[in-house]
Amino acid sequence: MVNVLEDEKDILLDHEYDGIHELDNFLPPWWTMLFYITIVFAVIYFVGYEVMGVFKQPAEEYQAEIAQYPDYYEDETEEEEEGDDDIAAFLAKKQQQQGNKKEVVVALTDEKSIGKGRRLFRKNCALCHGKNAEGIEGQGQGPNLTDNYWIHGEGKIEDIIHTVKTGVIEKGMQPWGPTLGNTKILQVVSYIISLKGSNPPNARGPDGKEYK
Amino acid sequence: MSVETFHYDNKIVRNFAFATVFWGVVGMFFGVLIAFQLPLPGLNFGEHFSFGRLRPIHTNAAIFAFVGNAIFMGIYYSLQRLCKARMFSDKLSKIHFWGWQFIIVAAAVTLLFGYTTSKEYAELEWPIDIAITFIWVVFGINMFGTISVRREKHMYVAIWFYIATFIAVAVLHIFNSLALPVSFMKSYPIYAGVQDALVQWWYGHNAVAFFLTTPYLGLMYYYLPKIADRPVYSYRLSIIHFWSLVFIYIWAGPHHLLYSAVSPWAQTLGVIFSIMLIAPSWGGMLNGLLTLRGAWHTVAKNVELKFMVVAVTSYGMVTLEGPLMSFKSVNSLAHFTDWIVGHVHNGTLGWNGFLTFGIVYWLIPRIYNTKLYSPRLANAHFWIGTLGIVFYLVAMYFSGITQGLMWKELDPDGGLMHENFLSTVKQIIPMYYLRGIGGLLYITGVFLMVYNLFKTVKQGNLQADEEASAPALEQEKTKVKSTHRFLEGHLGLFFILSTLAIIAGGLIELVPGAMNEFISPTKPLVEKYSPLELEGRDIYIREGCNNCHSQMIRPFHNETLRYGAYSEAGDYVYDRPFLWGSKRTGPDLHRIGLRPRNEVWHYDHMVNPQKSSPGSVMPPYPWLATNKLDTSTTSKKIQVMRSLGVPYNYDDVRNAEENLQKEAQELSDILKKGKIDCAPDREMIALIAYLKKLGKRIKVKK
Repeated sequence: MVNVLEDEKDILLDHEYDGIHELDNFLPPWWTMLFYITIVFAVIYFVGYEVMGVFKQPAEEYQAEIAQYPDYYEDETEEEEEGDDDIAAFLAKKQQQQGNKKEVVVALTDEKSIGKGRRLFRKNCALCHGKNAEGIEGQGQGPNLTDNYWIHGEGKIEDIIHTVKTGVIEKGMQPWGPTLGNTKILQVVSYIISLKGSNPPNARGPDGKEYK
Repeated sequence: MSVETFHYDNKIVRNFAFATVFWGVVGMFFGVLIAFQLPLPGLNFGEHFSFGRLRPIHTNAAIFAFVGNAIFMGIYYSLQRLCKARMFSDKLSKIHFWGWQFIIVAAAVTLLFGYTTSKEYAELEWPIDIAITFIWVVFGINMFGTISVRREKHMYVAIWFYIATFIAVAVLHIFNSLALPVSFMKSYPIYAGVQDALVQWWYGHNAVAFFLTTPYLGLMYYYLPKIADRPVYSYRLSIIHFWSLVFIYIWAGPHHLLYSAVSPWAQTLGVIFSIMLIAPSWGGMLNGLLTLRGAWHTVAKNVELKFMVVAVTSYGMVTLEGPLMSFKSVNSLAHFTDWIVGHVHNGTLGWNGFLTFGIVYWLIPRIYNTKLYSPRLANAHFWIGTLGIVFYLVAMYFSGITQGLMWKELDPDGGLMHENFLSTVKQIIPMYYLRGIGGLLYITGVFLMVYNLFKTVKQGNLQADEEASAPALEQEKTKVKSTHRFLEGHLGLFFILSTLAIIAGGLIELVPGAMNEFISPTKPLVEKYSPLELEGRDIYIREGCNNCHSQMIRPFHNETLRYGAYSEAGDYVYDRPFLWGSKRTGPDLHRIGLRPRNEVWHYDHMVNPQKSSPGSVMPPYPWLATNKLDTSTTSKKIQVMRSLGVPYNYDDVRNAEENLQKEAQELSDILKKGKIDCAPDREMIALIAYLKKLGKRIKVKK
C-alpha cells in the first residue's frame, strides 16, 4: 500500500494506476491567486497596447529615445552632399573659400565643426581606428592617428583628406569620398588633426615613417 | 471478471535507454567542444568541424537524440504499465527505434557536410524531415494503439501529456518544415522574412514546450510518485495545469521576437501569454515537489529522487525566468546575449538531464532484475553534475549581463562606449572557459553513470518480457463522477479537445498575418538577390554564420549607432529562409554592406580572423578562398524562388549563371586592386557579394 500520511486519508482518490494514487488536494490558494493576477495583468497589458494605445510601441519608444541624442540623427535629415573624387579641385575650392594663400587648406577649429567631426569619426572611423583614434592592433585594423607616424603622406591636412577620400583598398579601408561628401570629410579630418599629440591610452604602436 | 496475463516489452525500453545514454554522451561531447572553440578558435578543425556546423549538431543531438530517446524510453516503459498492456505492435516499436536512430545519424552526417535549413532546431533538410514525419506517425500509431487496447478504463495524467506531445510536435514539425526542394539536399521555405521568423519561433518556442517540457512532465507524473512511493499531491491541479499549459504555451512564441520587425500586436500576445504561463508551469512543479510531502527524509537517501528534485526545481526556475525575460525591458537587455544560453541550459542540464538520469538509475536495475551497481557512484554523479550546472549558469549569466550592458553602454556624449564589438567579446573570455569547465564536470558525471550502468547491466539479466496480469476491461455502465473523469475514459474525445487547445494559439497568431500578406504584401525596401548574392547567402547558411551573427537591428539608439537603421519587415521580403539569428557572439550583420569594411577586409578577415582582428573568437574559413563555387543549381534556385513568388523573370532564370559569372568577375577585379588574388569562381567571391549587399535599400527619390 502506498505511503499515505494521516491527514491525507480522506482525500485519497479511489483509483490507482500501476500503484500510483492521487490525492484530491485543493489548489494552493496562492497559486490560484498568482494565476488570476497574471490574467488581469495580461488584460491590462493588451488593452493598454492594442486597444487604447496608451503604452508606447517599440517604434514610438525608439523615437522618444533618439530625441535625447539629436546630434547623432541630424545627418539623416540633412540634404546629402554630392561627393566627388577630384581632390585637387576640392582643395582649391576650400583654399579659395578660406582665402588662404600660404597653405593649401586649413583645418577647422570651431567647436561646432570639431563636434560634428568627432561624431562622424565615432560613427565611421572608430570601428578600426579606435574610439580616440588610438589605433587597434591587428592586420585588419587601423593605425594610431594621434602620433607623428604616417603611412600615407606626411600627416598634413591634404594628405589625410586624400587618404580619407580615396581609401586604402588593400588594407580594407573604403574610399569615403562617395559616401561622406566634402564638408563632412573636412570636419572629420579637422577632428583628427585636433587630436594630434593627445596620447590616448592603449595606443597602437607606430606605423610608417615619423614626420615632425 | 476474467484476469488476463500478458507481457511487458522491456527490450524496447532497454534499447531506447542505451540510445539515450549513448547520444547523451555524443551530444554533450560536442557541447563541451564548441564551448571551448569560442575562447580557443584553434579548436575549429577545418571545414566540417567548425563552430557554425557543430553547434546545430550539439543542439540536435541534445534535443532529439538524447532527450528524444529518453522520452521514448520513459514512455514505452510507463505507457505499458499505465495501460496494463504490451505495446501495440512489436514491429512498430522496432521500426520506431531503428528509424529514429537512422534519422539521428543522417542528421549528424548532413549537418557536418553543411546541409542545413538554418532554422534553429529544425536544421535538417527536407528528406530527413519527411523521415521524421514518418517515424513520428509510427510512434503515434504504436502509442494510440496501446492506449486503445488498455485494460485500465481511465487515462492517467502522464498519458494526457504524452498525447499532447504527439499532437503538438506533429503540427509544429510539419508546418515549420514546409519548403520547396531545389535539389536532393537543398530547399527554400514557403514562408519569407517576417512570416518565416514567426513560424520558426512558433516552432522553436514550442519545441521547447512540447519536446522538452510536456513529455517530461508526463514522465515526472509517472516516475516521481513511483520512486517516492507517495500519492500525487493534487488531481485537480493536474487537470487545471495540464489544460492551461497546453493552451497557453503555443501563444508565447513571439517573445523570441520582441523589438523585432514582426508586427507589434504579435509581440504583445507573446508577452502576455508568457506571463500567463507562470502559474500553469508552476502547477507542474508544485505537483511534483508537494508529492514529496512527508517523504523528504527519503530524498536524502535516494539518489534517483535527488536528481528529480533538482530537475523539478530547475523547471520551476526556468519557467519563472522565461516569462520574466519576456518583459520588454528585461528582453531589451537579455536578448541576443549568453543569458539566453544560460537560461536554456538551466532547462536542459537541470530539468531534462537530471530527470533522465533519475529515471535511468531507477529503470535499468528494474528491467535487469538487479540492484544499481553503486549508489555511491550515482551520488558522486549527482554532486559533480550539480556543480557543473552551477558553473555553467554562473558563467553564462555573468557573461550575458556583461554583454548586454557593454553593448548598451554610452559615454556622456551619447555615443557608444565600445564601438568595437571585439572589446565586448574579450571581456567575457574567462566566462567562456568557466562555462566549458562546467560542461566538463557535467559530462564527467555522465561518464560515471555510463560505468555504473555498465556494471549494473553486467550483474543483472534483462527481463525482456516481464509477465503481468490484469482484469480485462469491461464495458461497465457506471455513472461518471465528473466531466473530466469521463474524458479520461475516451481517447478520441480527449484527442480532439487537446488538438483544439493546442492549435488555437498558432491559428490566431499566424493565419491573419499570412492572409494579410496575401491581400496586401509587404512593400520591399530592398532589391532581390542577384544569383551571386543568392549563392553567397546559401554559403552563409551552409557555414552556419547565423549561429553567431544576428540580422536584426532592434530599434534602440545603441543599436542604430552601432549597426545602422533598425530593421523593418520590408528589408526581409526576399529572405528565404530568414536569418535573424538568436545570439550575438559576433556583431549583427544586417547592414554590414554599409559598414566601413570593404571587400579586401572581408577576404582577409574570413581567411584568418585572428590575424585581422586579434582576440576574435571567429573560426577561420580558409577553404572559402580555395573551394570552387558550385553553380550547377544556380538557375534552378532562381526558378524555385520564382515559383515561390520572388519577382524574377524568365530571363533571370535563363541567364542566372551568366549574370553570376559577370558579377563574380567584377568582384574579383576589385579584390585584385586590393592586391588579393582570388579567382572569380571561388566561394569567397559569392559570400563577399552577399555581405556587401546586406543592408542596402532601394534608393527612393525624394
